[in-house]
Amino acid sequence: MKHQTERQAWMEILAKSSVVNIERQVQTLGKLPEYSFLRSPEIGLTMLRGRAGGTGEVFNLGEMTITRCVVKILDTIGFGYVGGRSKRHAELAAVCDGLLQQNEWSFTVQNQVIQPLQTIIQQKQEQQQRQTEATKVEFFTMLRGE
Amino acid sequence: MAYVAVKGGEQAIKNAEALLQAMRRGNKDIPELSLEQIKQQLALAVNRVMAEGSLYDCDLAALAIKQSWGDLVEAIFLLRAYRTTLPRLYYSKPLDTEKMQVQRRISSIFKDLPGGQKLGATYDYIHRLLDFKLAAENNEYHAPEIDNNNGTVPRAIDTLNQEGLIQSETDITDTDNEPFDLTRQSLSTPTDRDARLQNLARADEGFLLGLAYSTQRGYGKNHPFAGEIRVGEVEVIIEPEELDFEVAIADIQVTEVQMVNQFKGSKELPPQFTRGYGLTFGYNERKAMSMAIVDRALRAKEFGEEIEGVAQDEEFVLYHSDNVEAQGFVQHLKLPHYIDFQAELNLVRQMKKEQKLDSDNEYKVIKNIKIRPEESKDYSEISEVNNLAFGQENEANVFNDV
Amino acid sequence: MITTFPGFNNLVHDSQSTFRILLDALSRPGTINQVTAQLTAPSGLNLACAAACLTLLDLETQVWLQPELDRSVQNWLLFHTGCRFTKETNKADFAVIWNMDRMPNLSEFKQGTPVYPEDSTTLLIDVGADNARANNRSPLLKGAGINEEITMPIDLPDSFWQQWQQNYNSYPLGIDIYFFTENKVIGLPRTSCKTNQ
Repeated sequence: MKHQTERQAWMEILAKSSVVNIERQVQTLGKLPEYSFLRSPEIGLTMLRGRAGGTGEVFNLGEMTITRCVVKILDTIGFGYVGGRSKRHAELAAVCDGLLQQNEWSFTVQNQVIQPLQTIIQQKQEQQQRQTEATKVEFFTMLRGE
Repeated sequence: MAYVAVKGGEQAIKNAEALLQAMRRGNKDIPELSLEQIKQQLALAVNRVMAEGSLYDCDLAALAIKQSWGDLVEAIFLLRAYRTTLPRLYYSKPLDTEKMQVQRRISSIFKDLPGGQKLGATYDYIHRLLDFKLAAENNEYHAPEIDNNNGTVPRAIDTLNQEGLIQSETDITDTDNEPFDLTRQSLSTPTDRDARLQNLARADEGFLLGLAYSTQRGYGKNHPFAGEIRVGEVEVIIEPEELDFEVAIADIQVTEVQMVNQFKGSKELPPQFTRGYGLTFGYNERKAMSMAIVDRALRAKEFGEEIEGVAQDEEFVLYHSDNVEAQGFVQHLKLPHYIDFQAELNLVRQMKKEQKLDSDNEYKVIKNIKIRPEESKDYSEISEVNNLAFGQENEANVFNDV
Repeated sequence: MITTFPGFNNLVHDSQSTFRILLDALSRPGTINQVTAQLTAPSGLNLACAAACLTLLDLETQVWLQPELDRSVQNWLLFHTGCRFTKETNKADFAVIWNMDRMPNLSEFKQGTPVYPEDSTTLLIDVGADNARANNRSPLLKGAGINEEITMPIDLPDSFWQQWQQNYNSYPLGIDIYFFTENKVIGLPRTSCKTNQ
């Protein structure tokens, strides 16, 4: 199991959810506090690395697109880092990260945004596991002679 | 020699582009392809474009395929060009393929292994017969499901590792030295494995497939076994300096292949199995297997093996593997070479005349024996040919004197 | 600690215009070039130097900061450029200097190699407003990009010019320098030579 802090967990869920799903859940929060960009949503690259043999020497595999954003919201700083090129995705992730650090907001955002998004991710993953499991080979030993 | 530069064709080029766009769109009565259709229904093409375009972004790869009219090498080129416009913001932590959520996992060296053989979505056991039902639209399919609560499986090769029967892959990366990056450094031989693996991960699938096949046919003998092939999603993790902790930014699909080769040992190394490694973006098994075989072949020097085949020659493999470079150099031959060719044309005409002169002389020499002709004026004739080398009007009359 | 200072007001246009100005400054040594980008520089850097840092530094550059530079500068650079910091002058792609009296010898910076002479340190020197005028001691420069001669428009110590002569002699290796004062930039590339007057 992964060891991660609560904040790492919600940042991961925000990054791995689709912008459409996040937008829908964020709308349930009603009016959000004002916020400003400390770093406007910005698209760039991350160089992905692998290891020879999975465990050995590190090498550069290729790049992927990433969008990042930093907002200042209610005196906290919220960060968004998401794969892909959706500026809105990075912005919403940063806003939620900022709100989740606020006592008065964290409970609502956890319940109305993070939990539902986590459920969607988990369901998709479980379905994929079940589909893969259905292709698992069962070997039969053929008796010969006698 | 002076020449006159010509320009022109501007209108022709504009119209050619417009024609391409119209032909690419095809009959307007047929609905236009959406990027989402390409992403989902031509996913393996998208995967190949991402792998060789060296940029993981399904939307961009789908767009590139649509724009390139289905020409995947052109799409790869478009993706490579696009990535140069973006700043690099982070380096990821090395992908942990052991924690992969597998969608397919097979091993051809152990029948029973922890986690089992999971075929996933594969063409491997299906007859290669055209399915005419697909020609009709509104096909619906259903994937069966069986309960399972764990998506990760341990590595198949670890059992060999525990017995010390296989060369181990341990992290030898020097923390002071970043892994080689051929998008930033120019490649020079001899290379280390990090440079080779990066090159092979971006390399043309067809080129690697041919090389891998050549090793199997005996050009650089090494008999590989598919130790493990796994396809699935791995987590991408970065550690932004401003945060001081790791964050996951996405799950991406990759294919990983561990090839196992018997090795009879050398003065320094005991008999054991050795490995070749393949890792690519997306579901890209043929490419990943070829990569692993070529990776192993290129380790010949490391294992003290004789270089017998072209797949073991790092200079040959690494400098010819990139299809963007290769297609550029091959296709540049379509550009106007009018002046180059004019020079060669004149040269060939001159050589031809000289040869004719020589053979005429030989003929004369032979004739001399019989008929003793007057002293030849050969020398002056040759210099005359030289003087007229770039003229075209001289073809007929140079030999008039002979 | 995360900086609360923003970067360029207009990231694309400000960095492009600043890059153009830096290119002009190095192409025309000794000329005074005005940075037009707007930003709030962190304490310890003047506007021109801050703009040059945002324009030139990124994830793939190693930066040496002269010791005792305000801590907020490092946080600000890290946040906005993602650059790497090094303590070794001979590994730095860029060096940010705020006090010329205490700066290392020019020869201690990365000099480039015969194959890659461009792989040398570029110095970004904040000279402050006081030195920012020529006086009768100011030397004349000659070299590539200079029509005959030009007066170096800032006052620099003699010890600097002695080191500069060595740097000039090691061409094609050697370092290049930008001097910044308020919103102005003056370039001094390795091809510029102080004339004997």
